Amino acid sequence: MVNYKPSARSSVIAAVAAAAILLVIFIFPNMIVKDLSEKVSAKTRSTIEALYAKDWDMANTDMEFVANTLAENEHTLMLFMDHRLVDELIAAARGCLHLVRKHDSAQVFVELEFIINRIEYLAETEKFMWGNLL
Amino acid sequence: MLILFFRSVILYTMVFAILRLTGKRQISDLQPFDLVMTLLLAELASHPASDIATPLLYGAVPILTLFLVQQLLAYLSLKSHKIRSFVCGRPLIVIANGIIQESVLKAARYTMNDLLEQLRIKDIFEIDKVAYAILETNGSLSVLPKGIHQQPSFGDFKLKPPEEQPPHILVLDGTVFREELQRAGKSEEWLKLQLQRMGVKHVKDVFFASLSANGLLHVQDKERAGGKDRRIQTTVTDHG
Repeated sequence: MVNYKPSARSSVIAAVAAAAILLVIFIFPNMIVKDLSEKVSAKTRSTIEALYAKDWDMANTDMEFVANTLAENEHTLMLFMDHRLVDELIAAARGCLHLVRKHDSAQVFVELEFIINRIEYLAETEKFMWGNLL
Repeated sequence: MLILFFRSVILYTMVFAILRLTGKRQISDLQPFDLVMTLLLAELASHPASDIATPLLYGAVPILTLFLVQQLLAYLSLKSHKIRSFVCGRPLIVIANGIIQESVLKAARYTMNDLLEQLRIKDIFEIDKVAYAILETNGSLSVLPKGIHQQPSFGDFKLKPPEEQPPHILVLDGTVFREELQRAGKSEEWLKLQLQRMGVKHVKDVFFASLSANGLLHVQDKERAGGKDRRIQTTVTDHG
């Protein structure tokens, strides 16, 4: 069949749709991850302070918040982030919660630093920086 | 595994749609920016399709970005001669007035063997017959033979040229193309009548039917219906 009508319009519509989708993808993941990163890293740091003060109840409350927040946002994070990173982060938070409940301060600091490092890394991967670009 | 299946289907659909939207040129006719896009698309789609730990968006965002860049380059190339020259390059005259342009060949990294091969593909075995040869931006060679080796046209002999319209494909594999019938100014009743005149019982038995601009109806039956090849001259003014 001979096509008498080239579909230039469909290309323009597709280009506009692609630009709109990209715009949404550029804005929302960054907002979600930034917000989550701030919440989780603040609470994780607060857990560290509580552990230094030997306040196990406070550490437990903070760590529960961290573990629950990450678990609640698992599916959202997996839309934009490498699934292995998200799994590692959630597993580390759960592990920390167990250690805090067992009052094991030796191992828990290593895990808490791991959580801070990973959640800040996740947020940084969405930032437009020379380091990420190059 | 089901996830891998659906991810592959989504990415295939996406790559297919984008390749269709960016034009339907053959691989051999691709401009450099089209070729880059085609090569990158396959690679970008394959990784998230096979690794479920990678978010689908890691494939989708670069693919959509490439599509936008390609559309932008195509638009700018259409609007600006300078950008078109920069993006696509310029055609190079490798033979001018029958003389091979050695410096141009060297600049284009085009060997004499390449040139002779391309001429042979165009049925020219003697370089002496060529007046001009132009290396196009998509890598193909356009050749203008010397005057005495050019083929005469209908106009040169003052002959009536054949019709300039392409034939209308009316039936393919038993399916009638109504849109094409309309373009030819015919109706389904007209087609059925012509098929009856040719001895074809059902349109489903027709493998292929075309109507040329001069009114020649060419019908070939399906193999199971005998595979007969038939031709009939219809009147051009008959609008069915």
